[in-house]
This record gives sequence, structure tokens and C-alpha cells, in this order.
Amino acid sequence: MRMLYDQHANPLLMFVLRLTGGDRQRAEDIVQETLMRAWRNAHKLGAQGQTSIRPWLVTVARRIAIDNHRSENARPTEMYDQELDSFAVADETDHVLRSMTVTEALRSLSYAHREILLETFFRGRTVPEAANVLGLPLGTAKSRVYYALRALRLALEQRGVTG
Amino acid sequence: MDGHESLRWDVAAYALGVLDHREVERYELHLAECSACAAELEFLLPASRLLADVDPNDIQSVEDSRLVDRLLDAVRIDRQRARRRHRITVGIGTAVAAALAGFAVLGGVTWLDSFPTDNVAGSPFETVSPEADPPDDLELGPGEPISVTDPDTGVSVEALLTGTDWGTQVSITLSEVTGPRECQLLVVHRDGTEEVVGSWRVPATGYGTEERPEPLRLRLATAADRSDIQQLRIRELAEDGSVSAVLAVVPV
Repeated sequence: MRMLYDQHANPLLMFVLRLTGGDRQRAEDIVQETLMRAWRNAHKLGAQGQTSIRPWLVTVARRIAIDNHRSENARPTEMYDQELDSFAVADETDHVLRSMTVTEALRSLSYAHREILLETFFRGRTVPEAANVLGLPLGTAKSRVYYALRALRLALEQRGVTG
Repeated sequence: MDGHESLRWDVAAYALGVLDHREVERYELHLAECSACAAELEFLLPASRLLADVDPNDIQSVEDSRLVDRLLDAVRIDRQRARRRHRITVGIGTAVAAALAGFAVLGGVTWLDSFPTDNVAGSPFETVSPEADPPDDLELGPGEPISVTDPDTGVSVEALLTGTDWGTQVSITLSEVTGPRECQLLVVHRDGTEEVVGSWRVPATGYGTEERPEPLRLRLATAADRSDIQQLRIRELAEDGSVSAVLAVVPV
């Protein structure tokens, strides 16, 4: 929890402050709630350290902010956790099966799309670094990463993997 | 161009955690204000999370076999050309020998190093091993390799010739070679005749370069006797298939 807090509390607060129109008290509540959820779901989020959980935190914080805005505390907290399962890794038992399905989905992508995901996500390179390695203009690399991930998302959907 | 347009693609890099770290906070400021991009992030996020489940080696083996296929195709075409030439100039006896050599090449070429394995510490790629046609060793093998750096092109070659029952195995390691370009390896016999034993492509990143530090390792074969080989020659092919330059010469 301490690590979560040190790494993410500040940037997350900067983000949420914008959502709350500068209301610091509300922003801090939302950050606290978000980090609590992250901590409770840590085992599901997979601690590979390969993916930063920041995009996840940002998305969850935004949802909480929107829901808070709509109606103060109208929903029981368990509801969130259910929703979060769609972001998190659902169940360890079908881990192998899912991993195979995702691999298959990846293989269905075009060579260029697989290549850019390999060079960025799996090699831990940033987009500019990958663009350099592949000899691509930065703009091309950026849009390719985008279309590759979109294609993967759709390929996963077809295989019924994402909710 | 407004903020959304210029940042539109970054959502995927952000979801994957591969956005340039200096840009992360700038991008989060944008996310706080752009609900379209925030919605897109929600859409893409499950895919990026699931990706973490994949063993990159599974993907890797697909890429490897693709490259091996491509390499073998290139060799096959090359052998056919070479065979035709031999048949016309030298006659049927040599054609049979060349065909045999061709067979040996198809069986013997292995793409040993199609993807860099250096990288970040703890990279899963460290365990990657090429799955096609497992050679007993990844290095050049026993014997004394010959090292040459061409003074003009800067291309560096390490070659090892191993005599066998069927001919000679030629293992080469290439570095300091820039791309993109297509290359051939020639074996020059003592009687001055030449034989193309393989061809390959060098991608834009090159091999043994700053961008791609790993050298290219290839293993090729010829029916020629070890003692009958005078020289190895690596040359570049122009797009039309004509020879455009000699990149390196290895005296044997």
C-alpha cells in the first residue's frame, strides 16, 4: 500500500483535481478510494510489473468521480469491485486457457501489428525507442501502436475474452 | 490541430505503459479533460492487461519460423538461379553437384538470431531459443574462426569452416552491417569458380549496430571440400538481383 501511495498518489491527485474542478477534499477522497480498490485488487491485477497500473488507476478514479457526481454514495461499493473484474484478471484457474486465447488473438494480427507490440510492450521500449529500432517515423509508430491494440481488443472480443 | 487530434494515438501507448515517461503526465492532463479519449482508454485497457498474460516466447516462435521460411525461400530461389547458370556453363556433372549442394543448403540453413536478446534486465527474451532445426551449438562451433573487418565497408565477419562427410559447413557471424539490403554469400573454389551458398536480408536496423547490437549468425552448407575453398565473399545484391558491391572478403 505504501508503494502504491508513493508511486501514484500525487500524479493521481493532479488528475482527479481536474475532474473535481479543483475541489481538493473531494479529489483526495477519490484518490484514497481508488488506491484502496487497487490494493484490494492487487492480486487480480497481476504483479508482473510489466504493465504500469496507472492507466487502470486513472480509469477507476474517473469512474468514481463520475459516479460520485451523479449521486453521492448511491451505489454499494461491491458494485465497483464487480466492474473492476472486467479490467482485472478474473480467475487464476483459467489462466492458462486465457493466456492461450490471448496468444491466439495476437497471432491473428498482421505482422506489422505484432511487431510493434513486441517492440513496445514485450521489450519494454517506449514508442519513440521502438520507432527508432524499426526505422519508422514517430507518427507512424504511434498510430500503429493504436491500431494494433485496437485490433487486439477486437480479436479478443471475437474470442469472448473481454467483458 | 487541436489537442485531441495530436494526442489521439497516445491512448494505446498509455494503456500499454509504453508512452514516453516525460509525456505521461501531460497525457493524463488531457485525459482529465477529454471524455472521448478516456472512453477509448476504458475500451483498450482490458486488451493491454490481458497482454501481460502472454508468454512472449509463444509469439516469438511464430516470428522465428516466419523468418526461417523467408530465408529458406530466398535460398531456394538463389539455388535455382545458380543451378541454371552452372548447367549452361559447366555441364551436367556440375549441375548434379550443385543440386546436391542446394539440398544441403536447404537442410542446413538456420536463422539463429532473428531477434535481439539483449534488452532490459529480466527481459523474457533472455530465454528465447530458436526452435527451427536445432543446431548442437549456437556459437560458431569448434575450430579456429577467421575474423575479417572490411576496410572499406566496415562490415565485420567471423567465419568458421567445418569439413564434413557431405562437404563443408560454413558458419558466419556478421556485424557492423547496416540495412536495408540484400546479401549473398559466395564460396570461391580453388579453381576460381564461384558458388552462391545463401542469401539474406538485412533489416533497416542492421546487425551488430547500435540499434541492434546482436550480430547475425548464419549457418550454410556447400558440397565443396573444405580444402577446395579458397575464399568466402559477401556481396550485396541490387533490387534487380544484380550484384552491386562486395561487402567483405574472407580469405581461407
